[in-house]
Amino acid sequence: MKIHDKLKCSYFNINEAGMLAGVLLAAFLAAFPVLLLLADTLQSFFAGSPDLVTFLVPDERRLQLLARSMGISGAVAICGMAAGILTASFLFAWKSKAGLAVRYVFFATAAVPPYVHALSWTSALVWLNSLLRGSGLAEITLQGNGICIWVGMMTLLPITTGLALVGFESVEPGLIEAGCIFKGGGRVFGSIIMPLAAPSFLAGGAFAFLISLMDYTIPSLFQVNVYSLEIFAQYSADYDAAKAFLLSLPLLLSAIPTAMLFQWAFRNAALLNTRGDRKNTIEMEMPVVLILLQGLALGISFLQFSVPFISLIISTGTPLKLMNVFLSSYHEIGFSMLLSVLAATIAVFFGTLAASGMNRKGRIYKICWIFILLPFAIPAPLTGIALAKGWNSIGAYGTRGTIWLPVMAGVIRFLPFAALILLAIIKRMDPRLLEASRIQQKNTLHGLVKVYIPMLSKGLVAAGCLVFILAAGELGATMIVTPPGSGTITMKIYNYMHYGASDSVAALCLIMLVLSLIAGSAAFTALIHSEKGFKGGD
Amino acid sequence: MLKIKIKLLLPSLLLLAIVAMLLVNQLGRAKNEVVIYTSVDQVFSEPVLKEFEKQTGIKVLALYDSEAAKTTGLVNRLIAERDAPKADVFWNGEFAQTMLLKEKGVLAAYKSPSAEGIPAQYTDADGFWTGFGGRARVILVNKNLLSADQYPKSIYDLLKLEYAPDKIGIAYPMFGTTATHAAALYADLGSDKGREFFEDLSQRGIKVYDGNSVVRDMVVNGQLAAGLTDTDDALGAVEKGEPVEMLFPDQEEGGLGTLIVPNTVALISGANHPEAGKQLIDYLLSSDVEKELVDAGWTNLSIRKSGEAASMPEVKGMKVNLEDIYKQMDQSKEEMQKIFVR
Repeated sequence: MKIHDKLKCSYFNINEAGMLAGVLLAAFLAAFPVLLLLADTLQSFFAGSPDLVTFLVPDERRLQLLARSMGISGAVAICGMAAGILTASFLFAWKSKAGLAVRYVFFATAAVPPYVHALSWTSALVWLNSLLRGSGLAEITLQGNGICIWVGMMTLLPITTGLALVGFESVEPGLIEAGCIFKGGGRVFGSIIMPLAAPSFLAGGAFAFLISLMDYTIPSLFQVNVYSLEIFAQYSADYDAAKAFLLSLPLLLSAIPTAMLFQWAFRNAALLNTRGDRKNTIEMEMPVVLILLQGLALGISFLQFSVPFISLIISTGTPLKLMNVFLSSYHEIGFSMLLSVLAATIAVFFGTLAASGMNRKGRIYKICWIFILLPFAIPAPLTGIALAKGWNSIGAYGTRGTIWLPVMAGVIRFLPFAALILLAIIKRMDPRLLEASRIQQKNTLHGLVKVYIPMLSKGLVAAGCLVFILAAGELGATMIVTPPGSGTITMKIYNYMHYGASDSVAALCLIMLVLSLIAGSAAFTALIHSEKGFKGGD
Repeated sequence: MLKIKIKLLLPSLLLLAIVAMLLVNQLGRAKNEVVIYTSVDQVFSEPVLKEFEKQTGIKVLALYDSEAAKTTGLVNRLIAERDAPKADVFWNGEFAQTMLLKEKGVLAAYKSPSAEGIPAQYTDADGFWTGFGGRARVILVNKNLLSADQYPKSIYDLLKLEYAPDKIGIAYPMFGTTATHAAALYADLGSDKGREFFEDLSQRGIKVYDGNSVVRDMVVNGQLAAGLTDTDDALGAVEKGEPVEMLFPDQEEGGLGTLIVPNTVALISGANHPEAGKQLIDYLLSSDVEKELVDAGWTNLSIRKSGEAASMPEVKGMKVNLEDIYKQMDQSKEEMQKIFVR
């Protein structure tokens, strides 16, 4: 056992059983929809639906769809991570206040629905094609895997860039300085910074892969059929959750190696607690190739923000329209805000339990983590259905028609995100400070309140803000469990989108964008500055 | 820099919990209300429901569906809530899923006095649901890409070589009214000919999109020359002055006719507010509401044969029974999935 793990275990003077109970609770919460769907499926099978077995084994058509989905999602993850790493490497080196401010821009479009990104890009490319046509040049094709991967990458770039930047920021400045004394910036970047930041890169890539795997809205717009569409088509055919669940199993199984990858990455990460002022870091001279690639990535990132933003502004029309939509949607805005705040608070609580457990040795914790990451691989409507059925079956009286079901939908769906962010923060905590506080504390609760939680507070805010953004943009599960008479902004966006009220849709998306910008900025600020309050040892 | 003080954190959490509990109490309190789930676009249905509120003083708590959920949202929710229903009324923009809900035991029988004038073929024989209003499956064409003499007049024209396949589009025929249309063709032509039509469309390489509204958008922006969609989607574009025209296909002598899809409304079994629910159903089935929906652009056809509604445009409909269409849904959806999702 490494010394820092021993120190952290010994600090946390809650007995092992208590910690395990907390992690098991978090795992149960995250895996609850899967467990319920599994029980439902087994019940259907034993009740006399043996044809369910045929859904366990994909036929050739489904295998082709699955292979295509994996390929597209893999490409989105790799391209997204590559662009994110290059952009983040530039931002990492840009240490001025302007550089810090620019970082916030990259989170702004995180909560805009993927479909809106897709429509924005379609409009932009139609316009571009008209210019190309006029110039006698070849037009850009608006269908196929290429455009599908491009738009998928654009949609997820805020997440991949953010996680890459977290990875870079977790590298000890002293190591960079030491490396720069002996070698040039390029060597230091490749040999020291990149390997130490790698766990975050892997996490970002895995996130992007799983999210892309579950989405069919972007591929369908570009005439690409993917496996998740097959699940919805089957579900729409006979509303049999058991069949849809069995069809989801290949996606579910893909979450297991992803979970194992996360665990391996974070357990084998170097001691990531950064101390010292980053501003003192020696400026690195980067090789020309890297600078050019960074420039290319920055261009892509600029397009990622500007295309939907400009498209939304043009579609909205006037500031008066934006104001009118804002005033007519205050109920949905209020409901979304409350739902997202509650979901973020609860997800952060359970995420802390889960992350604390992840930091411990033991096979049981590894297994729990697989369950915690399962929500990534379940289609959102199935999560909603399971939640609705489960809630009805346990007779949760007093909560009918309340906000708590959509809150739980948000918690279940995004608990994995919170847990992973918090794990990264926990690994950065200085074990010597924790050990010192353990000596001085009156009791465990005293130590938690006075030392542990304050050290974790920035991570709590960061994880909370991320869940806030994601919960605000969630649709599939929320609309199954939202109480009648209420609705979120995202629900209203999709309702109006169907109607064709593109100006109202655009205005609502701009509102979401602003909310996302505020929350994302807070999250990022908290993440980057999480070590500044506890420099200890300087 | 963001600073979180522990001294403020706990009181803030406490305050949040109190507010949350107050909200729980507020939302959970019983009122003079009725709960309706509707797949009709919020833009059209909300004004109608607000007017009902104004006239009766009964608060309407509405839940709207989203095309993104492929209409699985509300139906699944109603089935999941069957043992403890939250809804009182279901207002559907089509009929097949209403029939499914009857099969699943989600609905309760109620024959509204407002249903007078609605032909028996558009009502459930046992009184579990009633049809009203009508949307049609139409072809929307882009006037900048096609001249009037090039307009398709039949759905079979979509197979003609004169139209480039990447300029013709439909929505996925496993969902929504396109699925209903596929089942209607199976019912009218027989499953072999129905399947053959869609296989031919697929082999031609026509574009398939994630919803009728997307087909509309693609026709409007010129990516498609013609697309199969619903009247409400098409009319929205026409009324905005887009360069499009809406056509009712197969109107010629001996032609198939256009599929007319009525709205349906039903009372939920075990509803918490059955009397208010019945009042709402009576209101929705009234001629006034039918006219209001026509004026708003949600429907533009009436299935009534009397009164003011009779003055609306006559469209030759497909000669198929709603029940027969519903019986073909399972087979047609399964086959459409195999044809188009690959």
